[in-house]
Amino acid sequence: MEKRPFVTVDGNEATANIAHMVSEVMAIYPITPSSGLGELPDAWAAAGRKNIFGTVPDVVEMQSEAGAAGAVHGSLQAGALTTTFTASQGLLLMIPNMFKIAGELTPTVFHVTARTVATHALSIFGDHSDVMACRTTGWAMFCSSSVQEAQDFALIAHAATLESRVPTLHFYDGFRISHEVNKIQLLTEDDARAMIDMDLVAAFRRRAMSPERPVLRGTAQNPDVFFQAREACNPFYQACPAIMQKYMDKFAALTGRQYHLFDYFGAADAERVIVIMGSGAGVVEETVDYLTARGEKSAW
Amino acid sequence: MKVRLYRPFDAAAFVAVLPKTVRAIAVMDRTKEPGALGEPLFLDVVAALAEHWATHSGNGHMPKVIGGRYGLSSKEFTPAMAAAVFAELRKADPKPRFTVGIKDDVTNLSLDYDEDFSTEADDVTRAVFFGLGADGTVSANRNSAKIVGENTPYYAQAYFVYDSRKAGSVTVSHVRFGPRPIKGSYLIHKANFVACHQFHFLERIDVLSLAVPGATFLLNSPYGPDEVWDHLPAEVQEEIIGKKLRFYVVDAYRVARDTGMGVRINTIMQTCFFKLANVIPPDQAIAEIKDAIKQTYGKKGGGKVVEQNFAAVDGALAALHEVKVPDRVTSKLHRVPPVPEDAPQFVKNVLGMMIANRGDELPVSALPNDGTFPTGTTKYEKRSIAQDIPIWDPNLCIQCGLCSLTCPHASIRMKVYDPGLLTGAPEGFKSADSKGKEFPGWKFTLQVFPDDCTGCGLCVDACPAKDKVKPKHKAIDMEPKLPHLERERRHLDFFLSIPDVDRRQVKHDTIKGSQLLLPLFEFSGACAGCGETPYVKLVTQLFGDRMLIANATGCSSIYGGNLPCTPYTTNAEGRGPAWSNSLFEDAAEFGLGFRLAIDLQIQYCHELLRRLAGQLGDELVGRLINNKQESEAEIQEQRRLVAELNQRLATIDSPDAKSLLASSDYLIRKSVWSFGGDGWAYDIGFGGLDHVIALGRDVNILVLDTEVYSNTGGQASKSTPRGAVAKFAAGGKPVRKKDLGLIAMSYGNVFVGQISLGANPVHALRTIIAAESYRGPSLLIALSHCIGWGIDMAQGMSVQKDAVACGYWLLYSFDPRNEERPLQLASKKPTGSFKDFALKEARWAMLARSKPAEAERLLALGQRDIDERWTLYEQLANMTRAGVKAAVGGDGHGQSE
Repeated sequence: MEKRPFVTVDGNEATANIAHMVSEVMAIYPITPSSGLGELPDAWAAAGRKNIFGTVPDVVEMQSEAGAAGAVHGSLQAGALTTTFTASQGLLLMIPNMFKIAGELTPTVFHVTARTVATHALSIFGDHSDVMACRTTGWAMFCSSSVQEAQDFALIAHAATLESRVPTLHFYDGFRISHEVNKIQLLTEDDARAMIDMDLVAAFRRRAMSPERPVLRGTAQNPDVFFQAREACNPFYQACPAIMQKYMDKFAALTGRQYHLFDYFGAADAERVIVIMGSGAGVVEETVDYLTARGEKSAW
Repeated sequence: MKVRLYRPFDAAAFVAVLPKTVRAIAVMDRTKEPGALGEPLFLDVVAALAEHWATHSGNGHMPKVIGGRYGLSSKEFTPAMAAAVFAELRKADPKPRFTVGIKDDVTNLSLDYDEDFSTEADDVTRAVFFGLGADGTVSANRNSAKIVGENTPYYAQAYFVYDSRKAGSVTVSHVRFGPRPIKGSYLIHKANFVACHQFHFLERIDVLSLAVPGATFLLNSPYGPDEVWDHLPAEVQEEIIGKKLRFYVVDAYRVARDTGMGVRINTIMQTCFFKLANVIPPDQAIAEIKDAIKQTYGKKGGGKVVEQNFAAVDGALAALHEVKVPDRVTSKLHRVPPVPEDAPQFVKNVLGMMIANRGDELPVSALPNDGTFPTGTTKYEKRSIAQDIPIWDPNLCIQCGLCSLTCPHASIRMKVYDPGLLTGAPEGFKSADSKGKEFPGWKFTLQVFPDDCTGCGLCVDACPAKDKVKPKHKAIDMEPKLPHLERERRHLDFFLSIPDVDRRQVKHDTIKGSQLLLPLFEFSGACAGCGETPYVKLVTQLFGDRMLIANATGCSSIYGGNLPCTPYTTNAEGRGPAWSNSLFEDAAEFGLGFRLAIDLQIQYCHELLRRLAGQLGDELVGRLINNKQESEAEIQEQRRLVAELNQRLATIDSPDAKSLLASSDYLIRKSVWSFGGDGWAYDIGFGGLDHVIALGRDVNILVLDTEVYSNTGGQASKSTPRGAVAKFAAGGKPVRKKDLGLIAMSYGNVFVGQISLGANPVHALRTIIAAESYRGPSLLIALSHCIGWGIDMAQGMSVQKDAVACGYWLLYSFDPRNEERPLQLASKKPTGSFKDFALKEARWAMLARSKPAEAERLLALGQRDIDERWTLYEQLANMTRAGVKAAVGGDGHGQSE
């Protein structure tokens, strides 16, 4: 096993490093604050850095996030492990394809630096208005709340989606995490190999479109069967949380960092609880530590 | 409780209207959010109630709230289902989340409901009409609803259900008339009047399943009241007797013929309905119908059309007869199963149910959970919609292949074969000696698929082989189908048993050669005479066994992938196009994604081959990596090598061997295509298309250019030509058509071909082959005639010829591999005027009628567009790239592998 060094990086670099290790195709488009997520793999690919499969990922810039999502959808359908990075209006442009990618039970991870959607004014800074606009797409939504978690959750997400077949939107706060520099323990390629189940990768390839064993996807359906077919995906969503937990446990066995679907911090007999996701969670945790040290029953 | 203002959600107002007595609430959402705790309205209601009860603790228990999904994709929602929801709420332990309207046997969320539960009042006329897409049934019923609604105190409701096929589609009209406002927006499940406007529906569709006992059944029948009984399938007889139906026939097609109405039967059937249904006094109804006729035709056609319609109305009454129903089932005929008995299980149990209009009965478990369907299923649905089919004269035929090339439905095909294979041929099976040098001593057969042909007549229009004595007689003639049907079916069975010729023996770049290749796109639901599908079919003949298709939403995705049956199919080895539709706007990017994945997987396979070379042998590895796969023989050799590789891999127990086994298919050269119409390529998807061709990757883009949004009903696109009338361009399009090819050529590394199968099929064929062989981006713009043009579709290919002759449509190819003159014009200098060409099509002629001066102006500008473009292209074609090669140092054109 390679040693895991401690490095001081920002959230985007921590995430991009994982995405590069476990992806074959990245179709990208720049948008603040996610641009760095694509720029790094592009530079790494240009320098010949390989993923854990032994290939150099193909990083392709498209003409818009809509185009990037279309290329991602196509690449997934044709059997390459594919990802992209975006935020805000860019994520909104991906929504049409996200519905289809989820409806076709396609494993993938999009890494999103959650950013304000422009309303009375544009803002390049962070909140969850973009990812919350994706709630109806049928994607798993997986929130990391620190630079360390951004890296760790990236790998957990890529590993788990292969089994759950529910595509996963991995998000963390734009700027506050994406651009925060923090000291983290770096995951290695061995870690990535340990997490990614190659049998599941092979199963994903076997579902790919090929003229050697052709199938048809993206049919037009009528009222007679659409509703029934739409309900047929339910078991995958029922199973998804347990699969996510399974890969968090696998990750814990590997690294010692244990995560859960919901992590509770604070007094066991707390009377007041804050529920939160994103970078604000660290703030509350720090506050809870402070208050409980002074005898208040709060939790996070 | 009806929600009027959903957002902002006023929780206090919501709670205020809720009676204090409420103990259980079901919140119905007409949407689905997989992964959410519940659908949006449900969650809002729970939050509103929880908050209210938390702050008003004296109210006792909060009502129980459950959430349900209903009506997705226009699924029926009926009083029976609403009653089932109330029944669920009465239970002590109702399902917290449920669906209603389907049978969910996977997650068991669905509520059972009593299909016999009905709230329909007896004094409401409930009529259901089965018609054919083009027979006017829908417009007649729309008109009937207006007559009753606007001329009587009665209330009327009409709703129409269409299937998505473009040729031979079934329409069902659901019409209610009653003394009170009609509230329920759902289909009629208990009809007291059923009309079947097409006799042949009876053998395929259970039209009487909706009839209540004692209902009236009106049938358009070529058989009179005394003979019709014996022509009914036994199942229909049984329902008529069992339900004690009053049964009437009218020979509407005869009345239409006799009164000069042609095949327009709508007025006749409408008259019979009013006579029998007695919604309003028949005399009054008939007077209203005649009044409507006067209003519709009085201005335009004048007296004659009005008189013909009046005669049809009167003739209808005279031809309407009640049938004396015998008391027992006597028929030997039976309803035809929707698909043959020997069809695969999925086709029989799932698609067959959908074909039989029984898809609603399919449970969740019957359907794929990720939208994946088998290809090659249209062949099981024998729709048999043609009245006339082509009949072959082997003596006259010159075996050119044009009929097969132009057939939009792949329902006329040819084979060459060893004469020995004729042993056992059915009597009368036609064949001729194969002409030409390629297959000396072999036989040739041209075969029609009588149940798959739509009778469009394009093949006959294309046939150049005329009888010198009787010039109207060609090597194929359209003849009434029925007398030929049984024989042609037998001949077809035998024809299909003859093996296809080895693809390596055929010259793919000749019309005849290309037509000896098996089409892997057949019997689609496209319009009869469609101008797009001949291109699609041809591309599958050339590359279908190794192609992936990214299809933009539009006509080509609907006839390409609309359930129940799918026209893309496989060859004898099970290979064929892998097809998918992403969105309307992203077919180029979607196709690019295929290419990115494939190239990456090739890289992966090569990496694994090198790692495993020690075990696999350098020779096999070298051959697999170095085979160029440019010829058919090389591609077939690669398939053999991959099969050998897979065998060896199966014996190697290593993770790399397993991984390579899962990916080795990618070693066989793939042909990646994006298909779509002009709405996609010129408008909504242009940004993506432009970007994809600029990336230099090996993708092929086929634009099926009908110059209008065909699938949505004929709206103008940027491809719509100047002066043409389209929806959203009702005054004639004021600006010229965008020159997509010229834009693409500006990159220099993009192969661009503008083609027309009707005008120059050899150029089209060779340009398609050249485009595919180019290992960079290729854009093919294919002129595709369309019903939106207002032409006789049987002459579609001839219209294309005229379009090219007058210079309206330019034929050319721009091949970046040609270092000297990449642009080659295939059009000759235009002859004839644009105006003469244009006015033969309704899209221009309409404007000439409605605004003659404006039409004159736009047509003159249209002529100028043509002249200007010709001058420009002539100059471009004369330009050489001399010096380019030296300047860029070698390969000046696009990226290749």
